[in-house]
Amino acid sequence: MTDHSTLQSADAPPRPLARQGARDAWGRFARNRLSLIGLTLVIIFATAGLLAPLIAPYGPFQLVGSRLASPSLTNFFGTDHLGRDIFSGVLYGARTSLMVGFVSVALSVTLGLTAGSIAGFYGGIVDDVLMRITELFQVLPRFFLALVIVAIFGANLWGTIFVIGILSWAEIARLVRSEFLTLRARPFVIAARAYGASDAQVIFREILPNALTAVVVAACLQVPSAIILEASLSFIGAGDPTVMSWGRMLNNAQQYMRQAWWTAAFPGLAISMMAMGVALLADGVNDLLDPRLRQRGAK
Amino acid sequence: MTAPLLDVHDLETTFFSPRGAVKAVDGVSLHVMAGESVGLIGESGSGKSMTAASILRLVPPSGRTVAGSVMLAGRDLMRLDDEAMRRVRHSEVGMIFQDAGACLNPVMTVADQIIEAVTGRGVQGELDRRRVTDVLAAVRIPDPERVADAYPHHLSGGMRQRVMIAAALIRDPALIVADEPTTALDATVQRDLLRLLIDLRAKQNAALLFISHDLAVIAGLCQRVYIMYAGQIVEEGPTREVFANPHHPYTRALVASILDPWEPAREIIALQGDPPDMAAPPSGCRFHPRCPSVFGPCATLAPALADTGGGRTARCWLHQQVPAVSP
Repeated sequence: MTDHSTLQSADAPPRPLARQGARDAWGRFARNRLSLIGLTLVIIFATAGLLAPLIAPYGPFQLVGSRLASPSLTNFFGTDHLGRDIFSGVLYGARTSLMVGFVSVALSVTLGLTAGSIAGFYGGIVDDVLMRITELFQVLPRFFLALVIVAIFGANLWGTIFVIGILSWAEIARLVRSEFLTLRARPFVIAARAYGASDAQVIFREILPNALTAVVVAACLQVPSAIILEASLSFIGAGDPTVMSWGRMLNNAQQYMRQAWWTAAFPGLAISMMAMGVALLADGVNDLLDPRLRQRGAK
Repeated sequence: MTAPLLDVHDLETTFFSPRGAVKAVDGVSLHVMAGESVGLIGESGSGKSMTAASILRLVPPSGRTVAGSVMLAGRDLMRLDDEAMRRVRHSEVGMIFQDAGACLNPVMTVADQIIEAVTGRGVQGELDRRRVTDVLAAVRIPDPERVADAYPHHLSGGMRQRVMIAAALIRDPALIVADEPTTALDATVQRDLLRLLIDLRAKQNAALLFISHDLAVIAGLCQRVYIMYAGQIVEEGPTREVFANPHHPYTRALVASILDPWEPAREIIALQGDPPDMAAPPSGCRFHPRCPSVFGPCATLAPALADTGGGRTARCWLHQQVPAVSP
């Protein structure tokens, strides 16, 4: 780890941080054990998803043996009601769930950041209009709206991702807006204005970097909820029928849970582990982004 | 006589609150010659900071400058469009604020913020870095290489204020507006910073408008001084003479309230009463409810800022003819 003792005294400035940036960043990230666990979980699931065709013993829809076989050495997580291997299903499902989680949140953050920044920075009528639109998205029950959109556009994976992104951006937009409203009045933003900073400069260099911590937290919390929303869509059969996902597996399992616990337990466990991994990772990323935390001791 | 660098005329900034309009700056006129160092003194709420904000058109959204002109190097800043005003702030005026800690972006390194003040982006390349370390050295920061890479929270209050000064200086402004830059600092740091400001001003030949409530600081730094009370200028003149022989009773009270360590037995004359409620300022002279020399016309007639001889002015009936109309 890097030498943090030099940073403690207020009057002695630290040694040049830029020169040791990457090491210092990793040090701050790794100091929090939980975020390391989160990173490990996310890496494991990402690898599993990426390498699924190579490491899965069977295809996700391949019928491999007897129905509802309990976990064994040939079927690590057992088989489902059609005789498909659950272990392979979980691996392929990781692909779907991760893609849904990260792509839909990327969409939601892009929309939310743009709308929130504009609303918070310019205020006035622009703000009013944008905020009424976000309210519209927030009062509509997410799940039913998702159902309606899926019903209109058909059940395919990109449609699902789009729907989830569209349903989540309002939350980010409101958060970004409120951050802008408080940051806009902060002395350093006023000082930047007094130095003749342009609007773009104030938005991108003064306000956004300071709002980012909150946005990262919110975005990372949206990843698991996106995964779960996809799962629930699949659960009621509105997901893409051509890809395996954890939600779809849970959906299939609901009739057989009593006889065969493994049909529900493993996909369910995967979802919760993934959600936890992303949430913990979010914490670590936050420590990474915030230079003020450089002085904070280890947890 | 040459035209002043900064010539503020009848500036009026009003805040609109639920209790009614508050004139925070009420008809302030002041000027600063090129290279001159001018002080603006007033107690909290007298409108001195708002005067500075109005000059740079940085009044918070709840207020508005409703009248007056601000001539800077021959142009009226009140008439400029936003983009032109931005360029003036960028290249002609350097502003130094009171709370340097809050005025530095917490997530940007010192080097990035200083260079951003000139280029609008972070440090790119050796040349930018050299400029930063040079200006940090100019504000007498020891070990500029280290400080350049520090974040604001790594620095002490005095260091932060030096960084703020560096960010103002790097653009080589013709006018520096300093709004209580030393108030939050302890006495020794304050003294060092003032010495620095005096030296830098002499070297760069920049004009300085220094806002403070601290008479001692102004006395050591400024050639001329304006005294502000309740949104108005009440007295103006060469610093030395104003402090040695105040004309306005308010200035007299301010000077009398200075603690002199060499004369501990001297009686401290504290001003009676509270600063006026700016939503409903007193009639006549705004100072009359607290004035020890109040007489006939004070409660009903508002005195104008009038010449009192020797290049000085005061807003007081003691120094001008009371008009012979019955009230």
